[in-house]
Amino acid sequence: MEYRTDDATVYAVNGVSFNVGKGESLGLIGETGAGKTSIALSIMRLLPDRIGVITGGKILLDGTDITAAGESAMCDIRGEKVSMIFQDPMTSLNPVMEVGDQIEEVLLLHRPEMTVEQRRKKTDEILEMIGIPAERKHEYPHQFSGGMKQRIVIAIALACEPMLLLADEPTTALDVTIQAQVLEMMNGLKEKLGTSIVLITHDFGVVAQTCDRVAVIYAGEVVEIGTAYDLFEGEDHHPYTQGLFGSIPNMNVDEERLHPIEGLMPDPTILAKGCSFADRCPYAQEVCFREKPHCREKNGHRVFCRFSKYPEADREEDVEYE
Amino acid sequence: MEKKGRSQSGAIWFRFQKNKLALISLVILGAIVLAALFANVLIDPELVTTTNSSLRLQTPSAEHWFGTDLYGRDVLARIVYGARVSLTVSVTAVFGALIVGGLLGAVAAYFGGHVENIIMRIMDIFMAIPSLVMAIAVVAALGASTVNLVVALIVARAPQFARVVRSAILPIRDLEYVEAATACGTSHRRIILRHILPNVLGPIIVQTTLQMGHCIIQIAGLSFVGLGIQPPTPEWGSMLSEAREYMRRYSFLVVPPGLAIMITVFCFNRIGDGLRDALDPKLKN
Amino acid sequence: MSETPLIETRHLKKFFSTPKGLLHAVDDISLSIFPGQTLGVVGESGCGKSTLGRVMIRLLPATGGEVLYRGENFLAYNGRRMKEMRKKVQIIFQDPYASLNPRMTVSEIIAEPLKVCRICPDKESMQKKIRELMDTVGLAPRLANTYPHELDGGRRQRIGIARALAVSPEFIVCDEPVSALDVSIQAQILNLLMDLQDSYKIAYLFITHDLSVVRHISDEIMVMYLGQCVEKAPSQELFRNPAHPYTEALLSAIPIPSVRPEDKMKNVIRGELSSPINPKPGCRFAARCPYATSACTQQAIPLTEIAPNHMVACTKYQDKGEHHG
Repeated sequence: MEYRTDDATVYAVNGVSFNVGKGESLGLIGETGAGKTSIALSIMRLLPDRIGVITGGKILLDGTDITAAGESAMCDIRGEKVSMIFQDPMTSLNPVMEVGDQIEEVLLLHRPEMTVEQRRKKTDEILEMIGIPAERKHEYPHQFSGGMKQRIVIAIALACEPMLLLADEPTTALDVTIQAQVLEMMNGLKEKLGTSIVLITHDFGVVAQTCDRVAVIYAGEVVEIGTAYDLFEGEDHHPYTQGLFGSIPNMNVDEERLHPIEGLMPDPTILAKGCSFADRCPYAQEVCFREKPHCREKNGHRVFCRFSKYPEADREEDVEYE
Repeated sequence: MEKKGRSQSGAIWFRFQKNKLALISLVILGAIVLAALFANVLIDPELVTTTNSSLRLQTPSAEHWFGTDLYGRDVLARIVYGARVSLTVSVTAVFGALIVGGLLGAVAAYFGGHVENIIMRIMDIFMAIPSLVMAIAVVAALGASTVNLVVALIVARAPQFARVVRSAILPIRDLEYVEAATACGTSHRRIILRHILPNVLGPIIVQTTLQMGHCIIQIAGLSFVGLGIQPPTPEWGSMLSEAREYMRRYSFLVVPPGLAIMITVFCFNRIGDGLRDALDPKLKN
Repeated sequence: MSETPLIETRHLKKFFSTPKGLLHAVDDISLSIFPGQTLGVVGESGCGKSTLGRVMIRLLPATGGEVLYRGENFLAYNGRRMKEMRKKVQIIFQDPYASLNPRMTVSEIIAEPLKVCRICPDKESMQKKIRELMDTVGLAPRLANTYPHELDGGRRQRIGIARALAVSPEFIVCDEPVSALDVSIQAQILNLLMDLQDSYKIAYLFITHDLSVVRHISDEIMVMYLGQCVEKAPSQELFRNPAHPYTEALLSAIPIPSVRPEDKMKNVIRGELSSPINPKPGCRFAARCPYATSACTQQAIPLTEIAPNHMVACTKYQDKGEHHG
């Protein structure tokens, strides 16, 4: 996936492959500019017109490739099968529409067979489910607090019980106590509705508390993917993942200094020939700059580093859901 | 990030030149400005004021491209010299209005509270009076002369600038770099001049170009009713006014000043529009 | 520590009048910071922590109370003395985008405080000072003539730090200096701030909503809730024995980056943050507090010392310790 601007071509996503099983939650973790949001927008096919282009690969949803689907087909898929929520709850809601109507609108679009009565009832159910009294449905977004707004956004996204929910930093704009409430709610809904979730975040804590599997994204590539257990307790890691862990101040251990990763993200307009992390990697050797690293795998925990202790694995796989 | 991107002004020019209409307008306006600047080199100034009754009301010919007027003066010469007058007066008036209105707006926005209320309510009163009526009132009170015309235009235009500058500053006033400047003891004057105004240049430039167009129309309008530039100084509005009486038989006389006003104003507006798009960072792709 | 604190506030208050009533952004805050020490201020959005920082360096006028700098109340200073004072106290902002003038180059931004405070007598010494400052904060000299929009967040934040350091302050308010940055960059900036403290003995008021960051950098931590200080304790003590129910809730709400069962999120606190407009007497957390009793909402609850330097404002501890403030 690329962005083509006046100045240059930005290689935002470069050969990312992962899959999400039914009812599973996958965390995409990485820093600003790593391409996390671009991945989500590609799946939703919401890339900016003419600028964002998917240049290769497949997105398989329930077995069908949606990269080639037309705009009208996508309209049916969005909201119905795949939903997305964004970071900022303040701008995701229409300020001049009652929240109840905003939830009903989704139902109106994707469940035309429902009667007015059924829709109202469903809206009430949804609001109760996210912990907002149904009688508040006639209020406008500004009458709700940030945490409640984000819950309403989630409610709208889940109104049609989609197969997949793409959550782009859903709690970053919220306070910790509110974040905890929203995460708890999302965990509950996942179990209740069996929705698969792709959670995009930069916070290891959020990933640890909510995700079954985690993919670490760096410069538009997956550098490590595995279960949450693999990532936090696994035997071997990608040097970038190690670097990220070194950067977080640990709550339980007192350390004098943090160990940040030196250097900066590579320029996304230049496609690296070798490993994209080689510039900042303390273990990098000459070969890393020349050749792409191979995938090394142990029990499904994949590390894309030449020096991983894991045995080599085959790398071909499509982006796939279900 | 080390790779040095295009400079800011370079990027603005890049976006501006994509708007072809604005680019053409810029070229035409450039030609008008050059013609006005070098008028005395191009055309003998004698032609502008020398009357010759034997040549009166001639239709366009090789000798007099736009014909001659009631007093036998060459219309082309008067148009070119008229550009001088129109442009000088409007540039002076617009910049005068920009300085007066801009500073009032900046002070109002920066200090807020009562200062803002008093300044902006006075500006509102001025805005409530149509600017042409306002200008007529000022000229009528002070007497018709070029200086008074400029004063009238400044009074009529300043509130517009005050409003634009104020609304552009409001979101910047509370930004952290202004606070940082306060935190190291920077004076109010320095904060306004060095930290705030440079960052609202975009809207100010756009407003200035648009106001130029309005101003030229207003000068022409005032001259048309006899309150602006006084004859025999050539001016488009007064030329139009003079030609009006003979419009039925010598209709070619109204075309040149009319077109001159139209083209100049159109160019200013297109450039203003082009600049607005080029300066708006949100439209950047 | 028997010496006088570098900076001290006494019953500092800042109210804003809003259409709905008086907003108590900072309500009776007393604190003190010693040279070379860091006081962390934690709280959620709208708890008044940023306002506190701004009132403390007179970017906002205080409604009541005093701010003492080496024992002198500088809120009463007039223009000229205040200008001298500005060199002693500085601020670093959260947003590395809004805090730098986009029309100025890096060296112009750093030069600005030097010019305003007339620190360098001539051009040459100014250039030298700018180079030194850039070196101190880890900016390559070749960046001197770039504009902030060409740089990434971490480097921009370094410019902000260099600007604050230019006047050689003794006290810096750090208003969420790392919350807009990526973790790997965040760690770089935190290390830089700690190194600067070591070399120049600067005192920090470190405002943040991130408890793991505050624990890392602070000597003492103050927890604020809706304009009031609910708990204040040395860093270690606060994390080991959080006393106020709000502090407990805050600590348990942090998602811990670990999958061990003992680190699972638990005891999620209910309710929402309100805003302290015309607050009722008593504990402002009472509405969300699982232990709230009728005593909590009857009168103002003073800070009580339950362990050395560990102060809590909660009815649970009122009888146990001696009263303060």
